[in-house]
Amino acid sequence: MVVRLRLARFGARNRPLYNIVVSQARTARNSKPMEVIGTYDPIPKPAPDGEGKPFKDIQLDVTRAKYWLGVGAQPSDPVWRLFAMFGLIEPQWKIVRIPAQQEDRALYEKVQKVKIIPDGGPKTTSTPKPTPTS
Amino acid sequence: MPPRLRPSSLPSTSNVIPQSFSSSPLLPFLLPSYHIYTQTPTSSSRNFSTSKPAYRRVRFEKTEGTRNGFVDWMKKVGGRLNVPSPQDNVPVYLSYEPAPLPTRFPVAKGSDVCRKRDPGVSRKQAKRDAVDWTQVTDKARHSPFPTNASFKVHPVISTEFREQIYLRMKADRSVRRISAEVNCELERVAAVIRLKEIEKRWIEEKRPLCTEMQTRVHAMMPVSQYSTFPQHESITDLRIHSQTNNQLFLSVPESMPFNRKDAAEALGLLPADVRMPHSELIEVEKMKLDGVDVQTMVKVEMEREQREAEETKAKRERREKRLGAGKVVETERFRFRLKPANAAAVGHRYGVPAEDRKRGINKIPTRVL
Repeated sequence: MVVRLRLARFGARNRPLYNIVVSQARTARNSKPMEVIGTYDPIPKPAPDGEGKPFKDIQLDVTRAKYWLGVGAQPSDPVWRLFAMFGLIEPQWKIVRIPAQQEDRALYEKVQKVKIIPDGGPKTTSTPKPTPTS
Repeated sequence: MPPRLRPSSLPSTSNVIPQSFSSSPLLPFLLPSYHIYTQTPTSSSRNFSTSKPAYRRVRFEKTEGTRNGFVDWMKKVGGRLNVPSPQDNVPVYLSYEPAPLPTRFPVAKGSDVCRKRDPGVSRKQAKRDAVDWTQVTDKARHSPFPTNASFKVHPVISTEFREQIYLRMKADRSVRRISAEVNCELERVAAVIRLKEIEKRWIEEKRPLCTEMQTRVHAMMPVSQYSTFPQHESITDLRIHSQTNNQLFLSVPESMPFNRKDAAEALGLLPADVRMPHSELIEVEKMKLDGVDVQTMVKVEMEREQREAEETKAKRERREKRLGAGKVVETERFRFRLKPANAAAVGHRYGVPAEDRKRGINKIPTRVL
């Protein structure tokens, strides 16, 4: 049986809260898992300073997540998305990182297929057009 | 009615703070009584309602015709009112007197009344029907609904007033102090500053500003002008606390004094002096009454402001530290805050099954956990 990394729903009606769990694929959603490695709150909270985008919180024990991925646990799609934000696996969908976070630059460049040019560098790098050969 | 400090006598406009003095950093602590007074005598808009009973209010007479005479009225009267105003952008319809119905376009009083008169109207008649536009303007500003004279408008702050508030903020004064200086509520000052920031940014970005609406609204409402009287409203008003809405009966010995502090205690609230928006002004007044010299007063106030600023700063830093923990990933609609966790402690709890309904298991606990 496959070991999966997936979400287990908690909270109340219309107020979901999720545990990120490691469990056997065929057990019930909310059954007791092998391990709880994090939480995900999908309800957006208003931005603390009153302006900007609302935020969502994700907590994750990255070490345990890496271990479980390493031994072949299969993340579900939503967990894949969350793990991709932590930089644990290749994202399946486009995510935008804040470029200011230097340690994530490599991943950002990879995902966005762009090259971040540090301040002071050339403004634009225009690729030369291939000249048509007659 | 909320408890409020009322002025013992209405001051005159000669109480205006001189321009040179109002820029002093020691304001408002040096000034005698401006904190208590707020509004110009003409606009006591927050007073108790003095609406006339329904049967005494002026009403439109019902006339025959389509839609209760409305279409007829529009043809006969409405068209005449839809003309440019002689002065100050005040809409002409505000000069409307419900009875008798005006028969012609209102002409402002002045020397050229006779020249402007409609054909077929005598000079005498024209002079009699001319409208004192200053009076109309003033009246219309304070009560914009011609048939509801008891409706009073709270004044709005002028463009210059807002600019002055912004300049004071730029001069590193706290919102609290600006509020005390220009007698403008804390929330209003904060809102003005926020909007001014946006306005300045827009001007910088060369985005068009829509000032037409503002001009029109200012023409129709009473406006607090900074240049003539740099005060806006009462800043000592207390919000009504819902707990004070209910009656409370309390036996108090006759010989004992019972003041506001005791009343607040009985209701389980903080005393009004502490709850009011500018409680620090009470301390200033107390110091004044005690005959404390100005230097000491200013020193005490400066210390208090310093303390307050430090508290605010510490609070903000704590919040930023709390919110800034972990990385942030921004998507199109949301920001995801990624926080490290420990697998042993994280997660919502899985309950322990209660076996108290099982056969043979005692519901009454026999041991203390």
